Amino acid sequence: MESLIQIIEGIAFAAGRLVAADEIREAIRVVSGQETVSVSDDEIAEAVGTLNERYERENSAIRIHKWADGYRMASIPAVANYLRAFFQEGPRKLTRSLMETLSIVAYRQPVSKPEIDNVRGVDSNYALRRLMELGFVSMAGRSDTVGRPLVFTTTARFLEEFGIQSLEDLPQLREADELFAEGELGAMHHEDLPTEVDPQDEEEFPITDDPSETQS
Amino acid sequence: MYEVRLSDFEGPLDLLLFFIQRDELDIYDIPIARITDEYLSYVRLLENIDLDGAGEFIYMAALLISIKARMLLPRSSPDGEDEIVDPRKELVDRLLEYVRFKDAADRLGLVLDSRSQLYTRNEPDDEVVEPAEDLEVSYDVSVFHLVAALRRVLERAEAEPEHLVRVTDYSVEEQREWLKENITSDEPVSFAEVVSNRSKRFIIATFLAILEVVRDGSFRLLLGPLNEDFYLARKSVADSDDLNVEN
Repeated sequence: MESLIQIIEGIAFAAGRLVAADEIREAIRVVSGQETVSVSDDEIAEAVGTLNERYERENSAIRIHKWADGYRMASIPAVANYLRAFFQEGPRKLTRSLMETLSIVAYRQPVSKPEIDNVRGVDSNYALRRLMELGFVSMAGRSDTVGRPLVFTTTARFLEEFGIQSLEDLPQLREADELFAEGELGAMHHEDLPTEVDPQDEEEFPITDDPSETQS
Repeated sequence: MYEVRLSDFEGPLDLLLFFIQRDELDIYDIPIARITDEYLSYVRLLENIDLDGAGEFIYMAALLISIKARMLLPRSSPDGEDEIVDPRKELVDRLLEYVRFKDAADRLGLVLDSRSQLYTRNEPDDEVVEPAEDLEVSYDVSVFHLVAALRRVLERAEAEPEHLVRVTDYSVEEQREWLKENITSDEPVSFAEVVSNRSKRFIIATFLAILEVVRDGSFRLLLGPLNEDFYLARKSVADSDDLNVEN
């Protein structure tokens, strides 16, 4: 009999997308021919934990992550440079106006376009449209306030593409006072002309892992 | 000199923060009169070069003028009891709120950076995560630095007598071609030199064309230490790896 661990590993490997706990349960139910399956979320999480421990022990380049409300297999950062070279791609970044708009939606959701425009002091029509095309933001009905404006929220895809489980995992929004105390505002503008970081210099990954990790 | 790449133009709040930072002003005690004047001179220039969104800058200019006017009114309340609200308060609150989200955007960028180190199989078919047009490498250099340089060049152009008999119009499109034909070296050339002895129309159209060719990646842009001028060079494949410090 296949173990839960094997089932999850197989599905996570082959799916090539985020897999929800319910989908794993459904697969087991169909195979077992039973009406219901009693595999809890915790058991699935535990099985994933066991897999990750094994990957780590074996110095594998693979881990299974929990992003948004599902699981997905991904390579470890240590081989990122090689994968970037292999796929011949540049750094993945969004423009500042997209990042600003996305942040406002993420922290203030559900939020209307006038509210976003007010924070940024500019029209956010293009940025919002682009974020919706990217699948990071979606419309979520209308607000009850005057004029009943459309409101926007972030999507599960946003969580997945940013590698976080839920909105609670976003970095805490800092108070302006805090930023001043740390000289962040000054720093933000005083460092003025940044030098570009050569991606080659950014991180140096050891080819071999710490040997102590192989024993366990 | 440092290489910059422009992504998108910045907004009216960024311009205010730019002044505040540059002159190391206390954000809670902004010298409104001085800022308003300076702001207006930039807005006139922005109107000149017809950047998209100049309307938003004009709106902010109007707000500054109204604050400036209120600052001049007597500041005691009739019954002497209510706490007097600083006319600048609303603007300061907005700036502070904006600063928080600028910071949040930076940090969310770091979250995306770490996630980008993890590769998955079969990215969702639309692969929209990295749209080339929205890629940017550095966004800390403000377009206002360039506008400041443009202003200096324009001031000089104004001082020189114009001998043009016939007014010639230049389109941004034409200037793009002109740049591609005339700047063929990957050695940086000065913007001021490129447009020296040219008419204001020529300078402005060329400036806008530069923003475009830098955005599409066919040219590199470098800023001098004094922000008095900037430099333009052809982008060659070879130098894409050592982009940064040049002196």
